[in-house]
Formats: sequence, structure tokens, C-alpha cells
Amino acid sequence: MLLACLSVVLIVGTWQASASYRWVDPIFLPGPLEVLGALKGIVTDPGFASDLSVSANEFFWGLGLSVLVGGTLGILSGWYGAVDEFLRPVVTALNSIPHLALIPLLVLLFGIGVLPKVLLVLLSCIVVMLMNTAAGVRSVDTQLLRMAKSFGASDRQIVCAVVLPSVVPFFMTGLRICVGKAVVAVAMSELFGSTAGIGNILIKAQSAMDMSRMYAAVVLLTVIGIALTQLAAALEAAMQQWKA
Amino acid sequence: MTVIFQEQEVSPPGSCVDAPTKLQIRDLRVTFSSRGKNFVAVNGIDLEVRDGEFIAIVGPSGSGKSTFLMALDGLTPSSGGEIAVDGKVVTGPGRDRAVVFQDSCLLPWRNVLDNVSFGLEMAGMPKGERYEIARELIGLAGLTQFETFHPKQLSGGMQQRVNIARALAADPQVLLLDEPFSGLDAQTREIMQGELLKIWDERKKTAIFVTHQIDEAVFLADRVIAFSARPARIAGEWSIPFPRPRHLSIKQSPEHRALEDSIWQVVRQEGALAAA
Ligand SMILES: Nc1ncnc2c1ncn2[C@@H]1O[C@H](COP(=O)(O)OP(=O)(O)OP(=O)(O)O)[C@@H](O)[C@H]1O
Ligand SMILES: [Mg+2]
Repeated sequence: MLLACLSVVLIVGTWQASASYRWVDPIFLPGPLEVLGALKGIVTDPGFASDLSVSANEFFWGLGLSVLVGGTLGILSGWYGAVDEFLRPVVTALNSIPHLALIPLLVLLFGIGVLPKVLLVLLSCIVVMLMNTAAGVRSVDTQLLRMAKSFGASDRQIVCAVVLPSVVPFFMTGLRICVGKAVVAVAMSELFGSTAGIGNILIKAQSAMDMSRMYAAVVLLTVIGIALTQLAAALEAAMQQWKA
Repeated sequence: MTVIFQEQEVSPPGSCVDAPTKLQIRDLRVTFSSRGKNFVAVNGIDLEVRDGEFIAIVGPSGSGKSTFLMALDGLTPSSGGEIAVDGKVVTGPGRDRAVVFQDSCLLPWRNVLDNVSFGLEMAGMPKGERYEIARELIGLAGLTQFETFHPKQLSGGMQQRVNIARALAADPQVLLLDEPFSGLDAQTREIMQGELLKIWDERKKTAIFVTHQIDEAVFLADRVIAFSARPARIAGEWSIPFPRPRHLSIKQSPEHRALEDSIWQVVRQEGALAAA
């Protein structure tokens, strides 16, 4: 924790020094204080709430669909070898594609509204959710399955009482990873063409040559990404206290 | 092939001599097939177990003891013969039997109370009722203060007590135990043997207990059965006359030692056959 603080102080200090001593032209890299001021400007902007809600909307829809679809397919492919085999080519392909390269395609097909953003989040997250839950199902202790059977548990009871609880830790790890990926996906797809959202603030600031505001948007996105990931990590830990 | 059969005619322990038959096993066979080849694990076992009787099964490693027990539970299908509990033929796992597995097989995300009531939950019993029964057995196992603990927070011996309590909570007719104490150190093991008898004296379940430890078999059982090297047949059978409740001190008695010796000889010969 101390070391982590130290590294942050060091980075911000270097940044401030580069502004004070003009290592980099402040037109291209304004100092931390100016950026902080611009950040305050963004947050207090009357339009900010609507930008935030647009990004949040894209984030939650994309992530929600990934969790739902990816989680379900993951459970199915972990349990049934046939489903796994059927999905494998798609999963492998989706896992290898650089998702950001799909943005122009998505813009071309679906315009610059909310839909292509949701789709990009979905494309970057669904495989992670799928692979994690499938690994969770595969890791279910066969001894526990046998134990449940010996108590006369039905297939449905076994799934609810043994399989799903064993998948939870894997699922939560997938969710934590996806939260970060989803923030990046939302921001990137907004940069490539949008009418609203945090990424839109950034791209508008850039075209207006308002560098402080642009960096402030970057900082804002980073802070949001970190905060959401921390939240997911806390949830992850809370849901498996029995492991300690 | 030599067939060893030893019978020591000692007066069987009082209570269950004329008790009705609880478990009837007739010519039980279990065959595994792997890569088209058949592999006989259990080869024609006949056994009649009276209500409330405690049977211990010993035998060389790999002789088919676990397989036999899993067949009794119905987890492993038999390929011949018949198993009946109270005259009802066994076709699969059922509520009239419960297994105490070697490694405790507790659900790590459940606390002691929810683990002990697992069987009852699977049987569809409402929460209040099953907790009441589970608490009674947790008390019997001496774990009342640990009701809300998770398996990771318990010692190996405590985990096995939860394992046994879970099987007993389901109120089976027959309790099947597969080396439940083999993972424990010698001292904990002795304590657990005493604990098991205490619980068993209270509940009087028909029990089949598989073990490698011959002193354990003699101390716990009304009757000890030795399995031959694979494929498993019955190689010897001994009645254990010690009255109940038994105290651990009887292990030091010459009678106890003599029984151990006589059983050990049969098991050792079978072990040598298995190795040959
Ligand atoms: N599912 C299975 N498929 C094929 N062979 C099996 C299976 N289960 C057990 N066997 C074989 O059956 C034989 C008997 O195994 P079993 O586990 O019943 O022995 P055991 O008497 O319990 O041994 P131990 O004392 O070491 O526990 C072994 O040779 C084993 O390899
Ligand atoms: Mg075994």
C-alpha cells in the first residue's frame, strides 16, 4: 500500500516537474493542477450527468449481456462436451481478434449510437465470462458430485447445490476482469464515433485543442475504471469468504 | 488358488443375534469394463447383515472393498447378484442408505449446519425441520459451538465428525463407511473410534465399515469380514464378543490381540496373493 502510494506520488511529481520546468510544452501536456481544474469543469458541466448516463448505459448493457449470455453458455459448455466442441471455433476466434479493430466495422454497420458500443463491450467480455464459467464447471469436485448422488439428489438439485456454488469464484474472477475490459471498450468505441458519453467529452476536447480538458477526461476514465474494478474485487472477496 | 476360511465360534454379542435381517447380499458381482476388457472387482459375495449389526470389512489394498461399498449404495452398478434392504431390492442410491466417504466430502461454501442438513435438504425437508434434526446430531458429534464454521476452519477430525453427522442426519437404515478415519493421525483416530461408538450406541444403525486398520475393525465391530485379494470374495469371518458399550482400554486385552492376530494372518496371506 505504501509502495503503491509512493509510485503514484512519483508519477504525479514527475508530471508536475515536467510542467514546471517545461520539459514538455504545456500546450501538449498541461500540469496536474490545470488538469484537475479542467476535471472539476467537466464534472460540474450541466451536460455531464447525461454523458455519464450514456456511458453507464453502454457499460451496463454490454456487461450485463456478457454475464448473462457468456455465463449461461459457459455453464453449458463446461457441462456438455458437445456444446463445448460446437462453440470452440467461435470462442477461439473471438479470443484472438483485437476487439478494437472491430470498431470501424461496428460503426459502419450500426452507426454511432448506443448499439455499437454495447456490441463492442459484449465482444470483448463474453468470451472471458464463457471461459471462466466453463472452467468453473469443469473444476467441480467429482467426489462432491458422487456425495450428492449418494444422498439421492436429482440432477437439478446437484446443479443448484453443488455445481453453481463451485462456479461462483470463477464467475466472479471473470466479472472482475470484464469490468476493466468493458470500461476500455466503452471509451474506445466512443472515441471512434459518438454523440455523447465520457469518450465523447474527450474527443470533443481534443478537436477544440483543449488539452487540459482532454487529459481530465483520460483521468476521469482511469478513475472510473479503477473504482469499478475495485468494487468488483470487493464483491469477489465477499462472495467467497469460506475460502479463507 | 487357496481359499482360506477361518471361523472363530465365539458367542456373538447379545443384542442383534435374533434381530431380523436388515441387509441381504446374494452372489454380488461387480465388473468394470475398460477398453473392451472385463475386469472383475467383486466376485460373488454373500452376506446377511442383521438389524443394528456393526460389520467391519478388512482386506488387502485394491481388493474391492470400496467397490463393494459403492455397489451397496447403488453408486456403482452391480453386474450380477442382488442387494436388498429390508427385502427391497436396491437399484440405485436411496434414502435407506448413507455413505460416510473417506475424504469428508463437505461442501466448502456451506457451514457445519448446512452441511449436516444436506441430505435432508435433498429429501425436500423444510428448513426449520431439517435444522432441528441437524442440530441434534451436531450436538451428538460435540460440534455445537462450531455450527456456523466452514469446513476450512475445522480440523480433520472435526470434518469427519461432520461427515458422519451428515450421514446420520439423513436417518438411513444402513450406514456405509469407507475408511472414514484413514486420513487422521493415530491419536485423533483412536478418539474418533471412541466417538463413533458413542454415537452409534445412541443410534444403533446397521453399519458396514471398511478399514485397513485391523485393531479398529475388532474394536468397532460385531463381526469382522476379511476380503480376499481381487476379485473380492469373503476370505474369513470373525464374531467379536466384547460387550457394549466398549471402552478403548479393551484394545489392550489379550482376547482383542488374539483376534487381531488371527485376522491379520488371513489378510497378510491375501495381501501376498495380491502382490504375487
Ligand atoms: N471405476 C472403476 N473403473 C475401473 N476399475 C475400477 C474402478 N473402480 C475401482 N476399480 C478397480 O477395482 C479394484 C478394486 O478397487 P477398490 O477401490 O474397490 O479397492 P479397495 O479394496 O477399496 O482398495 P483400498 O484398500 O486401496 O481402498 C481395483 O483394482 C481398482 O483399480
Ligand atoms: Mg478403498
